[in-house]
Amino acid sequence: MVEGKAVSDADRELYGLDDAELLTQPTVYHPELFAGRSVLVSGGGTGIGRAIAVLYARLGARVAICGRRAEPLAETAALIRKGLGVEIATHAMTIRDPDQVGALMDAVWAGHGGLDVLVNNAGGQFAQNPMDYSVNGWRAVIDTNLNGTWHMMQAAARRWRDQGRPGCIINIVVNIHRGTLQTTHSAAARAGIVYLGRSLAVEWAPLGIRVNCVSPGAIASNGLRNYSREAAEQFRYANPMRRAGDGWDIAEACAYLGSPAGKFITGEALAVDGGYQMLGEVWAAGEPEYFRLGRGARGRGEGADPR
Amino acid sequence: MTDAEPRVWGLDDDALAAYPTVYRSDLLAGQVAIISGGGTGLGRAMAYLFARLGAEVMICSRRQENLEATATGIRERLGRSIDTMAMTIRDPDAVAALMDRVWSKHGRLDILVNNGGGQFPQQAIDYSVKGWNAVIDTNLNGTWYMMQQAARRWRDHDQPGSIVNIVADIWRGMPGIAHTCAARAGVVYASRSLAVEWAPYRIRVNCVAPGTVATPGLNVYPPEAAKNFHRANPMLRCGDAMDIAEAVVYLATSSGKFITGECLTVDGGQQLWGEPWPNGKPEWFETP
Repeated sequence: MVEGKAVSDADRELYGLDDAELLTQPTVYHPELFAGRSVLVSGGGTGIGRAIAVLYARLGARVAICGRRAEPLAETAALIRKGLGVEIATHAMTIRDPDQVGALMDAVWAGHGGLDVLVNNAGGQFAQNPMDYSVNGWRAVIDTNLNGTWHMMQAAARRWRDQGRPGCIINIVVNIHRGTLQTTHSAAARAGIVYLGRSLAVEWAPLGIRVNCVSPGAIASNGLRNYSREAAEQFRYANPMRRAGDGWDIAEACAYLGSPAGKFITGEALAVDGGYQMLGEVWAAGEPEYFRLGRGARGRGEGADPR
Repeated sequence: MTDAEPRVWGLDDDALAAYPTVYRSDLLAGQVAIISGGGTGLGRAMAYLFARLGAEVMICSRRQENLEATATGIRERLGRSIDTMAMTIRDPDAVAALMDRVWSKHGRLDILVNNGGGQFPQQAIDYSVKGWNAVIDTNLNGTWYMMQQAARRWRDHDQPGSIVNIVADIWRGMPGIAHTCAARAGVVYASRSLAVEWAPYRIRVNCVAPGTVATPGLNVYPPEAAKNFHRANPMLRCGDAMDIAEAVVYLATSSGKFITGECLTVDGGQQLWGEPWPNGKPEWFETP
């Protein structure tokens, strides 16, 4: 999204806060909550990651962001520079490559004298019926979301261990509790992250490293532009609140877990989903007729009604 | 139980008044909150934090002297006045009277924190009917009366509301306090159901599940058992009352506006590793 460009109300409900709003959105937190803290946000160039980077920067953190493409990273950096008068570090790289992850960590450590909070926000998937996934498609989603997140976690944890410093990891996943429809690869990868997080929370507790996840439901963000408009419209209604959340909801969850307020929380996955874990469905690639019929039958107390 | 002096756990009132909170200082200005069990422990910490953040606070519990101690402490340390009402949440009429008092004074309620509750440690096989009923009645039924009474008023006044229920770390069962595990699990799943049913009224319903948190409430357990509580999670320490109070604020305010039906576990990882054994560890389970 172009900085300062006004968006229509209809677009805002789908694609979220514009850049100017990220700078002015009220926050519940103390304005100096992260003063002097070093925070790394992957996928910080776009959508939810940009919101997270802006909030941490507003709360005083020294922020670094990474992502595959340099251009969105530069946009986030420019937004923060112009809006807050603060420089953040940008690193174009892929988390799929362990060597690039190692170089990233070294750069952040060198630039900021360490790292306090790692937010693994980068990831993504494409909507398709699982029957049609190619081998490459499946592997790409597992590699980015699960393996990439793991490379980041291990690389950070090794450095925290070696320097005798505590750390905090926050993984942004998706709400997997009822499975996900037509994004099975992502459900598998994200479930892997959640349970990796629960295991590491115990194993790395002696190192003073906390590991938690945030499970967003439907969040109005540019990430929804990866789906058809029809599918994106569905997201809004796919929870009891009958609306989408915004990037700020996720950013404030990250600030909470990364702050002293979260110091006794580890191994937890916090659902920020408007109640989606209980009610609502999203067919990312279009609802199969079978289920449409099922709902019609339930709603009318009679046989299938092919509308 | 024991004749020894009760152990001093956690943060005292001076510490609660001075605790560096993550929240901005005017966050709850103009908001009205009810905190049950506000006379002691976690509830007292919540009362301090809510008052510090500018909320109008009503605390209730069975014992007036505990409520007075909280209110006096807040007045002396923070220069703020809070309301108190001695009542039991087990009595639906008393719950209605509590709600009416808050609505008649403020004309609104924004946040209901159901923190009142409790249990006694005992092997389940020895529970009396009365003992079982008391724990279910206080923790499950009492919390339900509070939720329903608040929700009816929010519906009737067309005002949104936020409920936070303090439950327990139920996820692997709670041997030694099975009654409270059952009651709290009931609260968690009532909350998940109500989060959907009451979403049209813009009422959010969430829970906080504390692990072992250092409060005077731990003195209900045998000292022999309590001395090992801090080993019952991977952090090998107890949490403090402000960990729970700050979780409540996170869920209750705008930071939680897209969160409903969720249970946030604040337990140092106890849901994954550790054994609290609130009534002592039976020999059967000792490592050979």
